[in-house]
Amino acid sequence: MRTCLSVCASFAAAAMLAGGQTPYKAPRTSEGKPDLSGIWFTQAFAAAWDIEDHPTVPNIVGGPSIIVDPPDKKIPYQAWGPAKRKDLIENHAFDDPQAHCYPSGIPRVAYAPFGFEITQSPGVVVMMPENFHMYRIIPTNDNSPRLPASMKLFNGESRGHWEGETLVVDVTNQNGRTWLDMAANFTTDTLHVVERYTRIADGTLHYEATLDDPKLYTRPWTMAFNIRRETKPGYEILEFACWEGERDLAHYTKEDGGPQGKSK
Amino acid sequence: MNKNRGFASSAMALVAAAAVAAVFVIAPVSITGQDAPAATPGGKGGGGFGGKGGGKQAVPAGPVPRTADGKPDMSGFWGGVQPGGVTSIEPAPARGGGGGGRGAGKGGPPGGGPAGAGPGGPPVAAPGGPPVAAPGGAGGGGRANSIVDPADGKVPYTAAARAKSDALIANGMFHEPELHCYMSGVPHNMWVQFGQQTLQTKDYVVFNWEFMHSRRIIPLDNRPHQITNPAVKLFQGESVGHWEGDTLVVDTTNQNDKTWFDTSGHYKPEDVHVVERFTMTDSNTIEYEATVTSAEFTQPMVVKGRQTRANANDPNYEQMEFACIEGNADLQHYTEDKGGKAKNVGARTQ
Repeated sequence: MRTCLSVCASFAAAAMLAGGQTPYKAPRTSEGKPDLSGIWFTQAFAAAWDIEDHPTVPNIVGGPSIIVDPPDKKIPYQAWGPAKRKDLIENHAFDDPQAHCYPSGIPRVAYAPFGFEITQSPGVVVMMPENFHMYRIIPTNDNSPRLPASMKLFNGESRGHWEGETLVVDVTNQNGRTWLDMAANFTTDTLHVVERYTRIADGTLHYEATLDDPKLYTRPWTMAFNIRRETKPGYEILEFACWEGERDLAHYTKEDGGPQGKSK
Repeated sequence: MNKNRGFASSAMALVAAAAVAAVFVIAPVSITGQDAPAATPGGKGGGGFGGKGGGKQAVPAGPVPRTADGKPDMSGFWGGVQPGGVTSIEPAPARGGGGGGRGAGKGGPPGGGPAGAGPGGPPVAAPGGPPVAAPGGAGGGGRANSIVDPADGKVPYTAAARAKSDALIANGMFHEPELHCYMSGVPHNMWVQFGQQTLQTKDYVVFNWEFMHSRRIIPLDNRPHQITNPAVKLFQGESVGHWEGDTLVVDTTNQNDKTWFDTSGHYKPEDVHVVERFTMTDSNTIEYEATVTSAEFTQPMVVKGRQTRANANDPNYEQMEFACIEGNADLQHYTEDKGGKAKNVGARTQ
């Protein structure tokens, strides 16, 4: 069933994108793989605030849900999920990991504002988001060894392979200390993400990510949106030095030397 | 003369506290022999970077590899520029017990490095002794100077700039930028530990470092600097590159004043203009040169060194995440006026 969910969604997207015409074929790298290199900007800008449907209010850019499955376009949380999320919003909103300059985790990097650059070499795809000045080095060699399950990282471990026109990236070993957005849609350290990047036109990447977490969700679920190519000559991904002038100290608890009360 | 750059005892408590945080930085030096003098030309015993390779044979050097468009192909993993300045860009001050952490490591990999870099070399200099290495040389178990011009191997600070550096060393070591998880700036980032992965296309060279998870994206399309407003200041500055024959030339401007040339208080003036030259001489070796100019210098400063290919024998090697902000225990070093516990002495004035 999980396979069907993912595959069916992909077929649906591919059929929709092809529009009955000859499918677009991306230019090729020297390795013969689809060339995804360039600077790209998400078209799901509002998802940075909340990946589900939400209105525009002061300081929040509203937008529709980017969830394409399940049909209600909501995260299929287990019962404890919304309860914890409510507590995070009401009592720990300052703990948004990005407020502490943590790497964003996957898939949050894909719909972060400010764009990202892709470069490719044989056997490796590198994604460099401006947001938080991260880089992801994704081997596309299936034989690469995997990390032990006990080793947890903010951005986890990414392993890629090519399925025709699509770069498929399997992401494990994330540490559960990241959120999916600023609306406290949190994650756990058993999150498994499969991303699919397909160049569907010279100027467009189609992005799809399926998230599965037996601890947190009742079923796998999928988000999808398009990413636009930046074509302005000379455009550069710039520095994002989040810790510069950081004023986060005010939020530290007293036991950590800050002015706040005892942590819960 | 050297005593001016010793650590004032009043600062030792802070330095000791900083050392706890910095131990992850310093420990690998002695483990990998990172600060050993650069390998002899030809790169035998190269790959001395990256402690995971212990006991493995390095891949012998071959001709300079080429990209499809005929340029030297620098793709792959590289160790930091040696001798560089992981701890100090200047010759080690005369301190007992290991010469400030330099030159007393386990030496280079088997077969690598000039004589004097052998296992367990003695401390490099007696207290009060002369600088350990002659310019351009690598004698006495020390290292070659990182700075080749001026000839004394020291940053050519003006008197006022030298006083500022000395003040940092005496009272401001808790401002050491890497303790705060800052990116290292240019050229310092070229000699950080744990190696870099280089990607190269016709239009870009990209350096990704494991250390601090920092990066440089260098366009090669002969564009002028895109940042024309001098008020824009960045940790890594803005770099643009071009090829001069087989040499990659990178011009960097717009750096901020928050990084040092090393971790020993040799601060980098905000106005620096850096021109780097990368020349691959065989498949395992990049000769590196950086010319740094600043109004706070009495003359241009030239740094020379060498990068050696790393992990060429391990097709599965990959750089890991370096999330320096995770578990940052730096709070106790914040000064009182910033809400921390440290006294306000030596706080940065710039």
